[in-house]
Amino acid sequence: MKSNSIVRSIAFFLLSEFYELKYFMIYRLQSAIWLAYAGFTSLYGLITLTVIYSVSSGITGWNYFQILALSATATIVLGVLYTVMNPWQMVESMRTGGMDTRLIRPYGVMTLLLSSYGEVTSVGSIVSGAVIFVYAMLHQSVTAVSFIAYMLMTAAGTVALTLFALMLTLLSYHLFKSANFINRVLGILGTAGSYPLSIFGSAMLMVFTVVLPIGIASYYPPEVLFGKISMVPYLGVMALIIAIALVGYKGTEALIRHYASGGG
Amino acid sequence: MQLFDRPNPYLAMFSVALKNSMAYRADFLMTLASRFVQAGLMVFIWTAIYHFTNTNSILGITLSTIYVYFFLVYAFRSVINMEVPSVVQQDILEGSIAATYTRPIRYPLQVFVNASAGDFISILVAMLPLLVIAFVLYGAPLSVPTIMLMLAELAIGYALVSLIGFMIGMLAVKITYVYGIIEATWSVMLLLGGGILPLSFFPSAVFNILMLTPFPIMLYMPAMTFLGTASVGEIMGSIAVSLAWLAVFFLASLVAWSRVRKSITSAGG
Repeated sequence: MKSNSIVRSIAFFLLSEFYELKYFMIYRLQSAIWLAYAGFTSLYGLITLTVIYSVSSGITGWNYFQILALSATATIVLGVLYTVMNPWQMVESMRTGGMDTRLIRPYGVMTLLLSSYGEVTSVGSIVSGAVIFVYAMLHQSVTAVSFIAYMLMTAAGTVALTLFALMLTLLSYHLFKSANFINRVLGILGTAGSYPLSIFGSAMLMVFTVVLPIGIASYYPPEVLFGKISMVPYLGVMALIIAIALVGYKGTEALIRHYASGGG
Repeated sequence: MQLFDRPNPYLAMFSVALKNSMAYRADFLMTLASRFVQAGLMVFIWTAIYHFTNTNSILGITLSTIYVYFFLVYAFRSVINMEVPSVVQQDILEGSIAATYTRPIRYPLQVFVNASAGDFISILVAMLPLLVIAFVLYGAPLSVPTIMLMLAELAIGYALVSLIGFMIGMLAVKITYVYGIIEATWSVMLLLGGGILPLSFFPSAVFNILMLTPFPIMLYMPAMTFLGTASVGEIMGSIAVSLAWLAVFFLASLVAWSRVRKSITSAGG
């Protein structure tokens, strides 16, 4: 019965994403511009890092292609996050009462939240981030084990970060009745996540690992990929990822229980 | 006497828009906090870059200069917001654009007045504190001509951004949704205006081309004027190029409005 429920939830999620895509494609010119823009955001990082490495020696311990892979990882991670959950849309929906009708559907709260407020355009970021990642990796040699460990940690970190961001979005609504807080937080994570967190000092490294945990999805995985982390710290980060995912999940459940519609 | 009986409609509109914007005071404070943190992150990033390169100067820009530069450009971001097209977009989606035809005011001016109220608050709350930080970090008094030149550049930059925004807004009449174009334009202005890194770090050929575009006056040139790293000739050249762009965009906006106003349809209410 439990597995049936999971399959049903996944089917609902995929169907919702499909209809979201169809709706998005109604305005074709607008869709093309959005996708181009999303792709451009990756190019943005590429241009910045290329200029930085052309005028300087770059950042300690990271060559140009490694940092390009790190930046691309951050783009992909945030692209996935926005694809399943756009905080602005979600808070607007709560402010106008639009969420109320969604919450009465016969699915779990988490399924409903993650399938209702995705931003299809972010697929452009995922694709362009992946292209840059592949380009960077063509200039680096890594072992298959490192790559698998990287993929596992990135996937797990992305899930945990998404759940955490979902909790922060609900918190943003509860505290400010506005998405500005979570949007600003994600903006900061986007900047910080595009660089090795070690350059921000140990205090900030801790902040971006535990408090605003972009590091679990965009910093530690590339460290694993390029052999900068051994097995024991790897397992420690994976344990932290599970803990953050649980905090995000339970926090979201607790906050949605106290949800009060903003209108209708 | 009539002057007092009938208040200027644009001033009245500005006053109302100002009150509306004040309802979002917390948002402006969050914008300030976010820009402060982001400028701080850039300080960390560039400190790491300078230290690893083992130098105190990259292409003539010292580490302490780059600190001030980032606080300045994050302050100046208040100038390059995309409020104008957002106002037009909203008017078209809500159908309120139709009501403007019944008022004794010109719609383009109404848009600029509405947008400028939000910009005014943004400049007060989110820009001035960062400017003060930049000034403290800079640690030297600014001459009056420098301040005047910087303000002139910012004013031209603001006018350029507003006209670009208005033309994007006019597109909304034809294609309804322009949020994608707004975001894309903002990103381009940020990158090519020097919001991510000083334009002088680009290869010289790229830099020379960029200086002929309308973007450097938005962030890079005012920052360089503040820092005293741009010569008077460079500043005047940049202002001349930007004024030429301003004239082009102004004419293009007039043409766009005269064509589009006849085909406006109200989308809702």
